[in-house]
Amino acid sequence: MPIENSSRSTQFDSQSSTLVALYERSCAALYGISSEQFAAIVDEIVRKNFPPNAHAAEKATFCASLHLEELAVARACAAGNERAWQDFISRYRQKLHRMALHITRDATHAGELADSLFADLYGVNLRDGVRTSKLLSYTGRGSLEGWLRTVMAQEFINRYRKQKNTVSLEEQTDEGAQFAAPVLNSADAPDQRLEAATDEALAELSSEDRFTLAAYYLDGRTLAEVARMLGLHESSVSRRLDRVATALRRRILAGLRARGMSHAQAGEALETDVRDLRLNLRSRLTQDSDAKTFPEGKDKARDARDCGNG
Amino acid sequence: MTDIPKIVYDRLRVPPPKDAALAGTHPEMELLTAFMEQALWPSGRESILGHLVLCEECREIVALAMPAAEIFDGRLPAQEQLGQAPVREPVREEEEDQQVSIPIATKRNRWFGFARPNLGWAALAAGVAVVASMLVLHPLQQKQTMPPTSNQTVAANVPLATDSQSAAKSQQLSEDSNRQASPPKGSLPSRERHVQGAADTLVADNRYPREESLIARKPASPIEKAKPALQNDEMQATSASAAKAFKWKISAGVLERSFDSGRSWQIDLRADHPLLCYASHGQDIWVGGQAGTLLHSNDDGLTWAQVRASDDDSLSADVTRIDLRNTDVANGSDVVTEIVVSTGTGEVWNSIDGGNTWNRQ
Repeated sequence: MPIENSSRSTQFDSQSSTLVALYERSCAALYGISSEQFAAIVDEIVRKNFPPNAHAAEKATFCASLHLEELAVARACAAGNERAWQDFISRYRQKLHRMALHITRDATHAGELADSLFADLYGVNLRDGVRTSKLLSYTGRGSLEGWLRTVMAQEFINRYRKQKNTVSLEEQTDEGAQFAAPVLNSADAPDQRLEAATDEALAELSSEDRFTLAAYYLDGRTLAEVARMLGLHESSVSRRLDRVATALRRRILAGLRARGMSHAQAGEALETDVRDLRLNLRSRLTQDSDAKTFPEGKDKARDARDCGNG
Repeated sequence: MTDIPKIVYDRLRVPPPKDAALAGTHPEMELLTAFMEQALWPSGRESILGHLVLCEECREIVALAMPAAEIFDGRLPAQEQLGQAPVREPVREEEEDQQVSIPIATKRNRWFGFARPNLGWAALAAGVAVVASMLVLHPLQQKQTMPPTSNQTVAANVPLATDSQSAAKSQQLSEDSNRQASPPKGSLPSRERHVQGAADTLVADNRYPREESLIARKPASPIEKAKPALQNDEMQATSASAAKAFKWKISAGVLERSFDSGRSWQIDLRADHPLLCYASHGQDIWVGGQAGTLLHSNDDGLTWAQVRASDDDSLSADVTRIDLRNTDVANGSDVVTEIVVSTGTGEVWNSIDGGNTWNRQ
């Protein structure tokens, strides 16, 4: 199938058969997307994800890994194709409500959230007078359903924050989570050496390890939740947390000794902290570990800090 | 569980100034989705994780957007798309155990395309090595251990074996996508049964809630279930209910199958018209679709037969629901005695002889 505008879609000049296969697989024709339009869409996505000189085979593999059919539906909906909307609605309308219920845990708000997102997707909002749909920003890298959930979660957080705007700002400065280091009494200010050694030890961890720590200890997620986020077994997460905690302790001690503390001093510097944190964890573990709404999360963090200062 | 020192907690919470830029640059929602679905390449995953470590808000989004275990739709952890499954520590651990079962597993996997691994790179490599050695050394043995099927299927599946194997070895997505786009005419690849012509997409999803209620399941973490369920599935044709959960689903007009309790899915059946519903009992699966489409398999999805409810095409409405009834429960039998097909137009058809003859109610 000759593609007239193939000179623009330089990615696939030499591999137009790939593009044809992709086009077929996406069933984009069903939704009134021509192969040229499809090629342009794919081209745009590839450009976003690869430098111009990237290997063609890599790009081809990437394209084939996209959720092409869902991409076609999404883009066709954004273009206002009726058939696409019929399909989208029958596939996702109910799901949107279920997702909203799962996220908000509240039937009334669920309805609002789902409807509002649907309106965004439908393109009710005008930007510069042009009807624009959020679906345009879907590029097929994850599933459409997953994307809808993520967008909805973001929408939920934004809404909630908007509602509690003043309070949350105060809370934020209070905790210093985002703007400044937490204000501590001088008696409780950690030794500079301890801070430095800890920062060093943390920097040596992999991103995944640090994420695991953050999700479990900072956000208070359960092992199961962390495991799902990372695509691991619960037991793997548990083992990892143990391993990382042990390694951290060891490295911090080493770092402290390297900074001039004696073995005993270093041990003591850490020991006190551990006792404090154990208190916090225990109180947190007895709470509902569904750290969903913001105040809960912030309260936990604040409690932790207060206990530390107390 | 070892605790972490409070200082660690404090320093985790406060990103060092050098990371401020990374903390402030939020990824697109799509990347977070791809991250959750384990669809990112290792480097992409690294950078998303790097941001997530520093950004509570995005972590919150991820936590909220994770599907609940109950409506787990099988996209976690590894995609069926090649080239996307990063190697992860726990998958490797599992795979070491599963290698024992792979020689048996390949018998099944051949039909459904070992080219679409749900076990990640390491298992794929190991599995290919095993498959290669088995096929090379024991070709006769392979043929004899094939399940008893019609001649047609047996013949078709031998070429498929090499097909899958070569596809698996080369791991080329383009090959894969070509296969999907235009399956070889004439042969009957069980990997994706394509009944006449190209498939329409779409319109299936009002079946989703039905699927949930039809299958009684206790959702322990599906990830944990994956290992024992895989062995069950492979070794026992008639699966226990644990394996039945997360086994079949209708998605986007096609029938999909999972061999690992929902961790990953493969397309099993496409038809001329979008498929809308299914019902299964043991090895019997009935699938209904638009325009009177009705298909049946009595070997757990290996082979399919088109079912004509009437000679004069009077069943032409969309089949939206299939019920399998056992009217003989009192006698302790577990056999389907009646199949009831309902259409979107309100028609009800039934068969009490296993699908040979049908009556409109």
